[in-house]
Amino acid sequence: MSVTVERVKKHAGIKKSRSKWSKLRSQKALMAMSIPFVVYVIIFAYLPLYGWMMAFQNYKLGSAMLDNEWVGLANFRELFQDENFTRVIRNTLAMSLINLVFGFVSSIGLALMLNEVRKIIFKRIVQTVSYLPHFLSWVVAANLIMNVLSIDGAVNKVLVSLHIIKEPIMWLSEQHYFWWIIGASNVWKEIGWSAIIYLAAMTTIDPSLYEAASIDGAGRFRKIRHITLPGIRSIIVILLIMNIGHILDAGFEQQYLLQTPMVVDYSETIDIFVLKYGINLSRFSFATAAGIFKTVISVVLLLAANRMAKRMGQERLF
Amino acid sequence: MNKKIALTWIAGTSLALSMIVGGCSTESTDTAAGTSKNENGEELTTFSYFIFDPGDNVPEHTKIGDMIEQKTGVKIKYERLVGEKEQKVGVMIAGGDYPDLINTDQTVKFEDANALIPLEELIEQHAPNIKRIYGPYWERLKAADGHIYALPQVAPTGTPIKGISAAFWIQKEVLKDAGYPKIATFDQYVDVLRAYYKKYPQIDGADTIPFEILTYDNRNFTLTTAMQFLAGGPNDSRAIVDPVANKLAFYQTDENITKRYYAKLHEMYREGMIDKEAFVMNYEQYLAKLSSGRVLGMFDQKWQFQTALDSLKQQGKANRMFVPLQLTFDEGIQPDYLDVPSMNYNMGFSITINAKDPVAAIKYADYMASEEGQLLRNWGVAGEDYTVSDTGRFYRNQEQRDFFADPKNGLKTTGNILWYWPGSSGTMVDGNSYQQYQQPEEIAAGYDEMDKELLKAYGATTYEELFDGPNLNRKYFPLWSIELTEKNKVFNQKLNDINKKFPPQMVVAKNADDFEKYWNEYVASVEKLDVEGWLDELTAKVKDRQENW
Repeated sequence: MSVTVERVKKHAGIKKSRSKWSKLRSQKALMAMSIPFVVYVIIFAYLPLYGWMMAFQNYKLGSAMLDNEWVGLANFRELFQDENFTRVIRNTLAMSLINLVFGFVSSIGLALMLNEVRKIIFKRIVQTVSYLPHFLSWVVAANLIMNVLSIDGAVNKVLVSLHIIKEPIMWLSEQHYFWWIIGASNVWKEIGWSAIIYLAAMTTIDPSLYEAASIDGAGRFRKIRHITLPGIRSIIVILLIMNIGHILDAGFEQQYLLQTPMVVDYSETIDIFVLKYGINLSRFSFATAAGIFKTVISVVLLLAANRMAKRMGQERLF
Repeated sequence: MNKKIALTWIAGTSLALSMIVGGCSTESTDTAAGTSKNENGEELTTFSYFIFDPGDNVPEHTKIGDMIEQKTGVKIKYERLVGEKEQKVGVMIAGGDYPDLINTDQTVKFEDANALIPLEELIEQHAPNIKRIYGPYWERLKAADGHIYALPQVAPTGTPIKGISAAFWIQKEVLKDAGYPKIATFDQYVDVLRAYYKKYPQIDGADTIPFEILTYDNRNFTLTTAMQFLAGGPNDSRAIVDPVANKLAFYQTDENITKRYYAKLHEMYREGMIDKEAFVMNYEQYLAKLSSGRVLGMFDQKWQFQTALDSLKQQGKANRMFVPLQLTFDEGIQPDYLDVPSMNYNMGFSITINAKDPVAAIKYADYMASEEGQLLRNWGVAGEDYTVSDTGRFYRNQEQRDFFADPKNGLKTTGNILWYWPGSSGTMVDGNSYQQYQQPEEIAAGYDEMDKELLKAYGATTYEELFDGPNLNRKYFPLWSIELTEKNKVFNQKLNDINKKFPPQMVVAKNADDFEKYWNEYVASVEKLDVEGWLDELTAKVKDRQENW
C-alpha cells in the first residue's frame, strides 16, 4: 500500500509538506476507483446485517422486520442448550481441522513435487488430472465415493487382493472412519486446485538463488528446504490465517451426502443441524442465531490468528 | 496512473454494477401477468404457474396445452422447482416475489405470509365445475381462519380408486417357485424368502439378497414405520389411530410392535438374510440393487421404487419384478394397507396476491376441472391418444400405449404437467376412470403372462382385489397431513433423528444382549421428548376432523 502511495506522490510531484486536503485531492483518481467496491461491500456485506435482528425476534415469514415479537436471547439459549449442539460443534471442528491439515500438507507437497518435475508434458498431465475433480459437484462426487467404498467397490477389491484385509470393510458404517473419509475425499477433490496457487508463488522465486545454491553444493532437498519453502512462506501464512476464519464451515454437502444412519453421531455438522432445525422448519430466527454464533467465532479466530502471525513477525492480513 | 485509463475503469465498473442492480429489478416483471398474442392476433392473458415439484422443463407449446389455450384464451407459463423446496419457499416469501399461481404442499407458510387470496367466493361465482367436484369436501378445505386457500390435486368421486402403495413386496419368481402359497404373516413371508435363498444363494452370478431395507436420508421411514402395518394400522406413521374410540397409540416404543419387528430383523440380519449394506447405501444404490433382480423382498411404497420396476421390465426380467402382499404379525389381525380415498389438505393449487386477474385464473382452473378439460388432460384426444370401444369404454390400443411409454412423447403431448390442476379421481358417470392409469383395462394391459398366472393361482384378476378395502371410518386420514405447531414440528424432527440412529444399530447388533442395550437406549432417548404433548395435539386435531368432516 505505502509503496503505491509513494509512487503516486512521486508521479504527481507532490512534496511532503503539502496539507492533507491536497493529498486527498491528488489521490482522487485512486479514491474514485475504490468507490464502486466500497458501495458493493456496503450493499452486499453490511446491509444484510440488518437481518440479524431476526435472531432476537420470533420472526414470521413474510412479515415486516419490525412487526415481530422480540424475544431477547431466547433463540441463542435454545441453540446452546440443545443436546446435539456440542456434538455438532465437535464434529465440525474435527472435520475442519482434518481438512485444514490434510489440505495444506497435500497441496504444498504436490506443488513442491511438481515444481521439481522437468518434463513439461508430464507436469501438465499431472496438474490437469489432479485439479479436474474440483469441478465435480459433490452430488456426483459423493455417488462416486459411495460406490468406490461399497462392499464390492474398488477400494475393498484392491485391499483384499493385496491381502491387507481379509474381509471387505463397510467403510461408511464405521463411525470412526467417517472424519477421515471426509478428509481423504476432500484431498482427492481439491489437491490439484489448491496446489495451483503455491505453484504460482514458486515461479516468483529468483532462479539465481537456485544457481547459487547449486554452486555451493546444495542437493535437491536442500534447495526445497532452504529456497522454495521460505519463498512461499508468506503465501502459506496468509492462506492459513484466512482458512482459520472458516474453521466452523466444515462443509455441508459433503457430509450430508455421504452420511449413513450408522455414522450420524459423527457426520452432522453445524450447517446440517441449522438446515434441519432452522430452515426446514421455517425457524428463521433460530437459523440466524446459529449464523451469528458462527460469524462471531470466525471473526475472533481470524483476529487471533492474525495477531499471532504479527507476533511471530510473519506476513499477515492487516 | 494515466487519468484516461482511470476514468475508463471507473466508467466500466459502474456500468457493470448498474447492470447487476438493474438485472435484479427487471427479473420480477417476468413473473407478473402480461399479454401475448396467439396466431389469430388475439390478446392472450398469461399467467405464471410455479410447481413446487422438480421435473422436466415444460415446452412452450404442447399439443394439448395449445388446444386448451385456444379454447380459453389463457396462456400458462409453467416453472418447476430446481433445488431445495423449503429454501425456494423461504426465498419467495421473504422477497414477496410470487408467481401468479402456485402448486405446493407448503400452503400454510404462504398463508402465514398473507400471500394467497381466498378462493371460496371466486369459486361460488365463477367456477361451477370446481364447486361440483370439491363441494362435498368444502368444510375440510378451509384453513384455520375459515378461508379456502388451496385446492388439493384431485377430489375423490364415483367409485373410488384402490391404489396399492405401501406393502411388503416379493419377487414373482419366489412366489412361483414356492408354488403360490398363501402368505398372511410376516413370519410366513420370511420363511418363503429363506427357503428361496437357501435354494438359490446366487442370482445371475451375484449374491441373493433376501430382504432389503432403505434407510438413506428421510427415506428411512421404510424401516421405522413398517411395523404399524404388521400391527393392523394404516399409513398413518408414528401413531396408530382407533377411529371409533378416537384414541391414538404411539407405537414407536411399543414392545409388542416395534421391538418385535426390530428383534425379528435382528435375527434375520445375523442369519445373513438382510443386505449387509442396507444401512450404508444411498437411494441410487438401493434402486440399482432392486433393478439387478437379486433382491427377493422389501417393505416400501411403490412410488419410491417404480424406476426399478421399469428397469426390470426393460431388461426382460419380468419374473424378478415385485408384487405386493398385505402382511400382519398374526393371522387374527385385520390388515389395513389401502389408503382411505381422501385428499391431502393444505396443499395444491393456489392463487397468489400477485395475480392481476384472479377471475380469469379461476375460470381457467374451472375449465381444467370440467369434464371436457379433464378428459383432454388425462386421456387426450379421442381417436388419437385413446380409443373408445363400442360399449363406451376408454382404452389405449397397443400403438398408443407404446407411444406414451416414452416419456418424451408425453412431454410433447401434455408437457407431463397438466395433472397439477384441480380435478377428480375415481370414475366418471359413464364408469370410465378419470385417470387413464386407473382404468381397469389399462391396469390389466400392464400385466404379463406371469402376473396372470399368479393372480389366477390366488383367484383374483387384479392385485388390488387381494387387499382388504380401506377402513372408511378413518375420516381424518392421513394422520401425517395434520399441520402441527412449531413445538411439535421440532418433536417430529428430533424423533426423526433418533429413528435414524438407533434402529439400524439394533438390527446389526452383535448379539441379543447388544440388541437389548440399543433398544433401551432408544426408548430412553424417545422418552426424553415430550411424547404426551405431541399426542395431545394430534388427538385433539383428529377428534376435530372426525367430528366435523
